[in-house]
Amino acid sequence: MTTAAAAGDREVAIVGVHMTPQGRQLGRSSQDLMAEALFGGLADAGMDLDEVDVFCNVTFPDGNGLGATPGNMATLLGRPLVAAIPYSGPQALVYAAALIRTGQARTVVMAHGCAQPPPGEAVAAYTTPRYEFTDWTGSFTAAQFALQARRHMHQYGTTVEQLAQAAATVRNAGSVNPEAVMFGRGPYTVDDVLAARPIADPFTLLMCALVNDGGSCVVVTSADRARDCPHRPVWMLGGAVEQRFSTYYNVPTLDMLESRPRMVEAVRRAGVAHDDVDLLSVYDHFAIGPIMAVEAAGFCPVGDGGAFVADHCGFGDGRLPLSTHGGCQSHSHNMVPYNHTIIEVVRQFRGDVPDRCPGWATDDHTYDRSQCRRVADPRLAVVCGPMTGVFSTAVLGRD
Amino acid sequence: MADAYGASRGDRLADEFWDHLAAGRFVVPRCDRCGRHRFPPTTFCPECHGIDWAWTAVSGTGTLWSVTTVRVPPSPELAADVPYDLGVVELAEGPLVLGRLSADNPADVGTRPIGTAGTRPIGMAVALVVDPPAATGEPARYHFRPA
Repeated sequence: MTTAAAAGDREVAIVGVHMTPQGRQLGRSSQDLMAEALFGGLADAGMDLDEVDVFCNVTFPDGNGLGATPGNMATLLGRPLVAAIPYSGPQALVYAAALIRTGQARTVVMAHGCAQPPPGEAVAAYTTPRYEFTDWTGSFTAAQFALQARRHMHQYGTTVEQLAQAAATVRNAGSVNPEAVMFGRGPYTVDDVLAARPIADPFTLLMCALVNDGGSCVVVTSADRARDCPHRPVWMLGGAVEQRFSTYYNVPTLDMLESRPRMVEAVRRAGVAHDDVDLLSVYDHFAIGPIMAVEAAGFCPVGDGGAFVADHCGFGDGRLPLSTHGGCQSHSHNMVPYNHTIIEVVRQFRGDVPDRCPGWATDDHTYDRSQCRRVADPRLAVVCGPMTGVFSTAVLGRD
Repeated sequence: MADAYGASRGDRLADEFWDHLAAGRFVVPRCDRCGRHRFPPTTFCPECHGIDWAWTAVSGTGTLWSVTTVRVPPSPELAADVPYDLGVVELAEGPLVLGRLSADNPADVGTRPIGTAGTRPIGMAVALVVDPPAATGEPARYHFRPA
């Protein structure tokens, strides 16, 4: 990993993270959750708001309508910004790094908060976007990605058991995470996942993301500024974004897999070999998510993702632990949980990994997977997401 | 601006599509330069970027590209519809279109084990059916049936 390219790329660092409580119907506003995340992240970075040049946040057209849109951020913050970027997670991190590397900004915050409307609809409102060529057919998010999954099964031989294994792997990590909405639920076997309530073939309920409230924040800054921050920097070594069709509005396809060459090149330019990656954290809105992510990010050939996740994405020597916080299916899906993949990597690098091990607070873990989700001494990680028309990959490392 | 069914009025491309559909024709833009058919309607060709095109009725034949059975209604007004089959169809002219699949025997829908191909395998031949506007005010729609 320590090629000249990687060493030269230590110009951008993640120096602060914060996760608010995640849960169903927390009784708080979206803006309140965003603010807690924002100030928590800045406190973790040893910064205050005056240092922030750029704000990144995703707000869907419906829901989350309490003002925390990029267009309103300068008003909310009471100060001008270099930019308000309507993205989150790995995608925002790639753009943040570009602004920091070119000197247009020094500090970027990626802060998100979302409170779902009270229950009443059968599914969350944002999963049924109004669009004249899709919504009246009875399509919605789970169906859109079920169609993608069914095509993947047909074209590449992916099995429903492999989908269930991907769901079980992520959920079983979340089941020992006290911060996960589904803490204590599980562990699940493949049969448990397959026996759950059917939603849209081939997805059962346990292959689908949660719907809950919560906020998150990631603080990114230059290497110079990072040296004065309280935590050791987590380096953003490289990454790439590829924009493709919107799966919400267009017919679902597998075209996201065609972003693979750009993602493979981004990992190579970060000076990293896929085999050296210690931890993978992906946006898993549905069980097909991790399977397509490992293919698009270059961890296995296109079409082999089902087998790769089933055979390699556990814990232990030579394995690639996957979304060890529990992902969107067990930890949290607060409408836009894209930051969570990054936050999990930062916390694994720091050794701040709450689980059922008695000594977790002092980073004393048992590595007994019935109670532990700690990755042993991770140094390199890849984060990916989202899977909704755009795919992005970022490579993170520590000294 | 969207009506109660999500169909927009005020966008020339979309309005013309729905007007053709109401007259019984499923039309798509066909590029004058390279001949590519595209859907949903757009103003220039994603293949050759040509800006000249004409509405062209499709044959209505196609193959099933993917399929799912929806078991949970996405909204209360669809509660009576579940389970229903939703498919992506590759039209003979090329475009992919999302739509419902009609059931020859509605009792068969939703009975197959999850994850199996069942009676509607990907690759099966299907035909596009235009549903005329209803007296109740519902606009023209379309669905697919086994061919």
